[in-house]
Amino acid sequence: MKTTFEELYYKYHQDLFQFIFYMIKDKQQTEDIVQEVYIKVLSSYQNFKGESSEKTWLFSIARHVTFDYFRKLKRKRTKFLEFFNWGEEGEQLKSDYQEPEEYVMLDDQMKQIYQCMEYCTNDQKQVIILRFMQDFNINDTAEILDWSTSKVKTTQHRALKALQQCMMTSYREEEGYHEES
Amino acid sequence: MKNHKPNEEQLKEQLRKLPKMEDKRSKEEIYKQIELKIYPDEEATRKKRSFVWIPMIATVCAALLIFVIIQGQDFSKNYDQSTSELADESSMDSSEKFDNSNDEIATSEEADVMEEAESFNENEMHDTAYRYLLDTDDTQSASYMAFLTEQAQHIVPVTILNNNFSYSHISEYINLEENGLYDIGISDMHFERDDKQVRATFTDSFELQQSGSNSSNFDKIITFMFQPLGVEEIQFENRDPILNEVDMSNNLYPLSPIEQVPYKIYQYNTGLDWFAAKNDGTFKTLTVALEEMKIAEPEFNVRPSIPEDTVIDTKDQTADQVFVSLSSDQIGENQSTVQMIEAILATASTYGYQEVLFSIGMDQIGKYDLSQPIQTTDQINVIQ
Repeated sequence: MKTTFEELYYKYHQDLFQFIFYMIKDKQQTEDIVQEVYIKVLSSYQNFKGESSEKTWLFSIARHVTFDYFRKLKRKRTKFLEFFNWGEEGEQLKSDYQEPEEYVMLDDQMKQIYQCMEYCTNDQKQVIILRFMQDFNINDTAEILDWSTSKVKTTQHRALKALQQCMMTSYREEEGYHEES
Repeated sequence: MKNHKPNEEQLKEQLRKLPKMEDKRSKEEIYKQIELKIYPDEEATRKKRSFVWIPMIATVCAALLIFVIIQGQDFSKNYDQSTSELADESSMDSSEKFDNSNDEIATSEEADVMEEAESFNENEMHDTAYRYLLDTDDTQSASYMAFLTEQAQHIVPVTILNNNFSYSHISEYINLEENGLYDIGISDMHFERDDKQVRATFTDSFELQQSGSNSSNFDKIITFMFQPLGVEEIQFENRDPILNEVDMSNNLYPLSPIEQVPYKIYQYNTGLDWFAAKNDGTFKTLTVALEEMKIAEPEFNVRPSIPEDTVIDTKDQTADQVFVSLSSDQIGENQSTVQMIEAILATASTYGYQEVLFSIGMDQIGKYDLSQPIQTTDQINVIQ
């Protein structure tokens, strides 16, 4: 098992970490989820038939584990909000995780794009991460997501539109703020 | 005004330039964590469990104490009624009575108690909102019967939890026609059971044409009926040509065990959902069976019991316990997930497992606490 782990680690670890991190934007949680992915991968490695590439298979499992995390988070959040009866105000509560040190080093424009990713749906986010940060082509992305290639293209288009919209809104708000002051 | 709308190419370029996030942990550190999770030290697990239980028990005791004190002060009139209601957690009638007392409540303290009781009832409702097809209690009085589906491609075993059940009166318990189920002729037979001894008699009305497939189906149906009761052979009091292909001595019909059966969901027209065992095929391992359970057979009115896109992992924890991990977007708080869990429990039972430990990204679905191993069962498609 250790040999398999080491091989996977050398080939894909940082990419895997990167994918999960940009999905959830929380380093500590990312570490836990990455471990969970390895556990699933290692315990089912003998069933990997090579019908897809190893990397595609690995990312498809990573995606499932990440979405399991989202579902758990959503349930916890719903229970929490119901308990305190916070309706819409509660929905706007921000998570308590901190921006990573890499974020602090970014220029304003890159900070904006980093923040604007949160305006995308999870489906949109995973497409733009796989396509532009992980450099998967349309076919591999479709295989990882178990989607048709046309769904990948449509989602990618919508994701970029959402990002554009968010960037524009941020600029306008910033300009308005400067004009007022 | 400047045009700040970045074009798509610029956006793609910026996305590519986002910083690489690095995992600062060493490879060894990660592997150690993984190893700990895959092979947890039992001692550590036991200790951890006891530490978890102590505060939980303390919290429950404290909550009960507060509840009793408040009731003693403010619900003196209704004391007897409400405590009996608390004791009878499964009674919907009592929770309705409890709700009626709401009208009389004026103080905020009382309202808090009501809220607590209501949320308890909500949980109960949540559990009863699902239809369950398994009974995991070891019921001694259960009787078993089995039917063929419309095209005889699957067998639907049923468990009848009624002491007065008789095989010839099965139509009082289930509408076979409406549910697309076919009795191979069991209601035209007479059975006498004394613990693990069964004596069977064909009545004059028994009519099942002798053929290879009919003999095979008869064998499976009889097996599904008596194997869960620990019966190993049936003593036939008279003969019928359907038994001609069976090697019997002294009219003793040997029962083969029910093994390696994947369960899917059979629904005929607008009838109810039933777990259906595949009547053909070989599924040597649980993993193979679970993969089969993802496959729909619409031509036979059979749906998958596990979502088709599910990534499945299995691992033997002990000889009796299997770990099953399932990942799919369709898994959630819904009836299909309850059915998936139950279908896996029923299937795992036919592979000799006593317990299944699930990992589906949820700790609870309906009445099933997935944080603990769940007992498998052969009490399938339960009817009262």
